[in-house]
Amino acid sequence: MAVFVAGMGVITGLGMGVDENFSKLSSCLHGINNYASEIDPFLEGIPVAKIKKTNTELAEKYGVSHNWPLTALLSLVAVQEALASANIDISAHKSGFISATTVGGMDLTEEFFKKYIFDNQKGNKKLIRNHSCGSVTDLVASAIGVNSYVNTINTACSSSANSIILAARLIENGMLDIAIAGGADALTAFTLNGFNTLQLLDNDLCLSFDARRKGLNMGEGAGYIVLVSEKMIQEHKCNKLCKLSGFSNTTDAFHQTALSPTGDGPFRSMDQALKMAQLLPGQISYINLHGTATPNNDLAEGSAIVSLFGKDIPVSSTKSFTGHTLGASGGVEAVFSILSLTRNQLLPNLRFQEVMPETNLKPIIFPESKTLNHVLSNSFGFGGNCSSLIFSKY
Amino acid sequence: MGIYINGSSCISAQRSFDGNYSAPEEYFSSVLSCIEPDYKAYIDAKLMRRMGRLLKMGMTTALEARKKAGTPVIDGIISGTGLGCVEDTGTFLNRMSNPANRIMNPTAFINSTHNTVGSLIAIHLGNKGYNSTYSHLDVSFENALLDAVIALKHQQGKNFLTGAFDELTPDLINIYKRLNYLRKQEVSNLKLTSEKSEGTIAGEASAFFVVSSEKSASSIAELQNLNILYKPSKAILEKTFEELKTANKNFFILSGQCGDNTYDSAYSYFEEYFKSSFIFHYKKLCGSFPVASSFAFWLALEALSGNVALVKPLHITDFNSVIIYNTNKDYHSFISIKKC
Repeated sequence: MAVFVAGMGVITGLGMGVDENFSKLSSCLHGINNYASEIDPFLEGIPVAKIKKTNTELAEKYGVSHNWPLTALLSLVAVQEALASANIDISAHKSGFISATTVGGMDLTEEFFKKYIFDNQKGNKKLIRNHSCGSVTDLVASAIGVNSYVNTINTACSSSANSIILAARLIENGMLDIAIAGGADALTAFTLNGFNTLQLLDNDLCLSFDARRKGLNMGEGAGYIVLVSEKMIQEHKCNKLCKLSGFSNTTDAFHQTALSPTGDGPFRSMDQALKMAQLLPGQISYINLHGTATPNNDLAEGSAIVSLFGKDIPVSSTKSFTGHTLGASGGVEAVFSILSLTRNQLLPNLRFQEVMPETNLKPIIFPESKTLNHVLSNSFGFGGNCSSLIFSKY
Repeated sequence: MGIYINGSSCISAQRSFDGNYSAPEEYFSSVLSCIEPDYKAYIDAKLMRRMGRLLKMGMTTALEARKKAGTPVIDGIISGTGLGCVEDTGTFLNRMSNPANRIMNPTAFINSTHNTVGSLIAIHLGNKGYNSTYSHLDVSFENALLDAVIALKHQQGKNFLTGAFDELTPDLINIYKRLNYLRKQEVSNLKLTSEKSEGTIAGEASAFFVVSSEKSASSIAELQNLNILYKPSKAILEKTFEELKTANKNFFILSGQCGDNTYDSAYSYFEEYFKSSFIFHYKKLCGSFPVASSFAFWLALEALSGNVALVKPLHITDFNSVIIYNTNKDYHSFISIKKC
């Protein structure tokens, strides 16, 4: 049984909505023009990609409380766009919402802790009410009116790719007709300090898949797609964008925070997705890389790609535009992959100059119009979780 | 295709891990902490030094469950947790929030991610298969179980290590008190739902199971029903109740009331429908926490194996199936398992 994409929505440091994001991607204009010090004054000189709207602006757009955690606001905005673009009545069918986040309501919890650590009777209790990953999803689920199923995944940076995978499996299993799947993550002092402490950040704009790369830039955002069953497409109950023709979730099992240098997990992830889609490597038109620009990820992912596809396959990391949006990245990049596929545009990898000597992979430098048939998107998370998605024209 | 539970292990406030119980543990506290084993017997000492408490609990119960299942090849690891690794999250937050001392511990950050337990188990077992972690309120465990069922049905593998874990820390307990979640007066946990009041008793646990498509000598029970409902209508709820009654002939019920008047009112419809059945309120034994239903799952397996000392007084002797019910206002979950 096949699963189809009927709609999508996105918000990142590039802007709000699919068209604004695509416009920036096509014009080589990145959104990594904020600084971590805007979130944590102790973190100086660290470029990040914040969304360019205030919490109040986001809340007012859909009439919800501006006291919602930012992750919930980002999620709602992207989900509402996805639903509108799918042209679908979720109340008339078995509908589900599968979201993902690594930070949940942590932006507000951090505020709470500022007072709490000096006096454990201090700190506004309202700030921690929606701390957990699940409660953020729950807020959005109530606002959009899904009727059958709601769940949240947290597998670090592969989270929202795994949401999409679960959604597809629930539809294939007949449990749902429609599923809105993806994820959201706001920038928080917690994750900024976490990645900084791990020395994974670049103090300049990141250099994905470049021999000179030093680390990642962090970003925030949300990306969701509306998945539907074949029956929904056949009965013309929604729009249709493309097919989710293959996916896989596999484990590298090498180290908690690093992939095996040969990219064993990434290789198997892409290979299994291809097998499921019944495609040969040569049929993939473009790979949207996980491409965080850390020395380890890009080497592992690059090595795996060369082993499987050779070095001539078009690849790029759109994290060079949006930064790494952590739990949202799988969803955001699924949207970008579908944009690339349906608008026949290879997306560029900004600031590339020097090939990695180990792989000789040269990413796309300029946006290029080209007929694309199958696009693969990678998401690899801490703990070695490797997920890949393949979107196809049909 | 049958779905079997071939291995089970649980660390909780009861003597669940070593099974050395002849009666329930009684506590006079608004907080129940786990009775933990000596982890050195299960985890390498060098590894342990960098592992927080919840990680040790999760890893140990996963490895034990697999051992009890006859150490099968594991095809995937699926976890559920409501709040994740709270201790490490708190450690990192505390350092980060203190302007005078911001030396942060990268290990605490890494270990605070929710999928840490699942991925460490995978690394330890050299398991390169499917791996996912769910964090969705009180149905985190049920969703992990659902994922395992789908994976088995689609032949993604034959054996999935499926489990859930949530921990308490001094900060979390303090916050629960401030949110008025906990009983103000310390009562016996065994009277949690017989003397209803405001607030509940907080608990913690880790429980792992081997969920398999293969029946074996280690098989304890077979999964009958698994339903996770979101804002169901009364009609859908009733239909589910009927399905449960039809599928399970001689059963008793483990139900998730927590002793708080407001929270427990959500159970009244179910309790009324099943009023002629024996209903045991399992949170008496383990306390309240998001993945408490994983403790109930362990408890049900124990009962089906003939170990009924914790569910006394049991008003039904010839049962061969257990129904587990859990609700948190908008979500209702039903799990039923029957003796193999």
